[in-house]
Amino acid sequence: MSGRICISGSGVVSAVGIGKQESLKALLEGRRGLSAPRYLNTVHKNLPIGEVPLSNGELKKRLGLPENETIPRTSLLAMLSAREALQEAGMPGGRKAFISGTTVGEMDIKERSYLGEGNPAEGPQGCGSSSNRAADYLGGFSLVTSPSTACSSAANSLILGSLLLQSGEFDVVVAGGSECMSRFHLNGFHSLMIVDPEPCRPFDATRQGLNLGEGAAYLVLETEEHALSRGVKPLAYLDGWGNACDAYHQTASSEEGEGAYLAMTKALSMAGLRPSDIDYINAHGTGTPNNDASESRALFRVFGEKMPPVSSTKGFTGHTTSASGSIEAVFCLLALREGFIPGNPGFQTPFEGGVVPQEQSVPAPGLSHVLCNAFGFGGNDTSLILSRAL
Amino acid sequence: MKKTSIPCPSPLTQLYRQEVGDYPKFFKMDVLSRLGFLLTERLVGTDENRFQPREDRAVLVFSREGSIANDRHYAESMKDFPSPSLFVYTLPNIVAGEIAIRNKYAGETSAFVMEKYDEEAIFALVKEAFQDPVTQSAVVIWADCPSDTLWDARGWLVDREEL
Repeated sequence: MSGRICISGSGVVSAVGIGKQESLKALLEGRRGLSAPRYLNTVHKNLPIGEVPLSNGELKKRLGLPENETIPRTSLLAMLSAREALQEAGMPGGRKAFISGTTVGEMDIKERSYLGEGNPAEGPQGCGSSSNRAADYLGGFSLVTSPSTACSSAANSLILGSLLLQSGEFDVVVAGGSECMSRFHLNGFHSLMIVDPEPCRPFDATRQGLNLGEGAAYLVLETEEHALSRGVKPLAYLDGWGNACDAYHQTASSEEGEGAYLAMTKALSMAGLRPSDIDYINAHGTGTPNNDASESRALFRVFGEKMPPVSSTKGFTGHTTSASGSIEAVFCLLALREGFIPGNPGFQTPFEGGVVPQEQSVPAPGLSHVLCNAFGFGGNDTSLILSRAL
Repeated sequence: MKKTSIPCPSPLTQLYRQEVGDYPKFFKMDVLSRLGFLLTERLVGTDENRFQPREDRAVLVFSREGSIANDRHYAESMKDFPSPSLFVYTLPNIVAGEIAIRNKYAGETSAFVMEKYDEEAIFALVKEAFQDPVTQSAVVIWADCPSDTLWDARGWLVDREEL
């Protein structure tokens, strides 16, 4: 292994805003992005969800794409946020890979044909085709792939991207994930009885489940050496990561949070940090009774009673599933760069054995290291550590 | 490197009864998970101390079509009432989770969707997984399953030294 991995650009879209500036403002002001469905054609008219506040037509307009072309919403969200990331990074050249986690993919289009509403010609193209569509728009990638590990997909994309850079096969990697709302997965999560009919309340004693959200986020990754050689100053470093399997149940987390514990300890050990070096934890914190209890247990196992500030930002965005790992990594980057701890909307009352999160966003200048968790069905648990660039 | 495959068609429940027999959760699984499960049983069935929990073995699954066979069944159920037991298997990485649960593997698990069967690309990604110093071996599965009756299923057990 060689080469410290740095972040030289980032972009994000979610229910709280298009781009980093709008997102930052919403996080600082505590403005949540959850509302009844506006764009998703669903019978669940009253379930709060976190939709990106633009129609497909408006997204295409912003991207300069023809209104009448059928393009998966997942691709549109990916294009918008990856473009922001690449622009911030100064449109780097060289051997580039696009690693884009998704699970829903182009299901928004596919499900119309399944349900007999759409044109059969718009039928299945494959889960990864939404990433290819976005990569074609952005241009210049010699590798495009789609890690699909449910809600840890985007976080795992960042790991895979870093490994590709360290292998020396690529100069620049754009890594993250994108996920649009679909009836397919809204109904699915609802059928598992883990959707809260009210705005979600991560880590609260009264929490009843998650609210689904959509969005996309990408980080431009390169080795520090590569960034400096082209005159670009790193925004932050990706110094540690860990992936572990909970090996307990397809859709539930173990009581002891074993997978989460292993992922966090691996990331710390890789970064050469002690638990006390971590200044903020962006928890997976979905708001389901099971996740928040299990994650709390894992957090106490790693951090003991000296718990750094913790928050789940899913009360802002909803659970953006396969995109959540990179969306929250961008929030962590904003926290490092802008010096604040994001709040945990929806929290009021702690539960026994639960972490007590940071309720409101507060200024916190000088954060050095932050940890970001993303856990997926299948017990696929990932932790990332972002460190400040001096 | 150990290798195995399951020809298509094959009677999967019969294979389960002949080769495994003690894991009734098999019957809840979709075809993709059944294929991954059976391939892995052949690869690791004779391991010493097989069910001792371990972190040093990764599970990496690859396919073209992901979970599409089961996705269709679940979409069909949405016309009446969405089925939670089908929804669980609409994720292409659940097969990796099933393998990890059965064998108590707490190491890296991953699932990749790629355009076509490409052994070189698969093993390039397997090699990346071994950059993690914890990983000593990996169960590698290519299971592409466009429908319940059509598949291409191959598995490898790879040790670090073999790459």
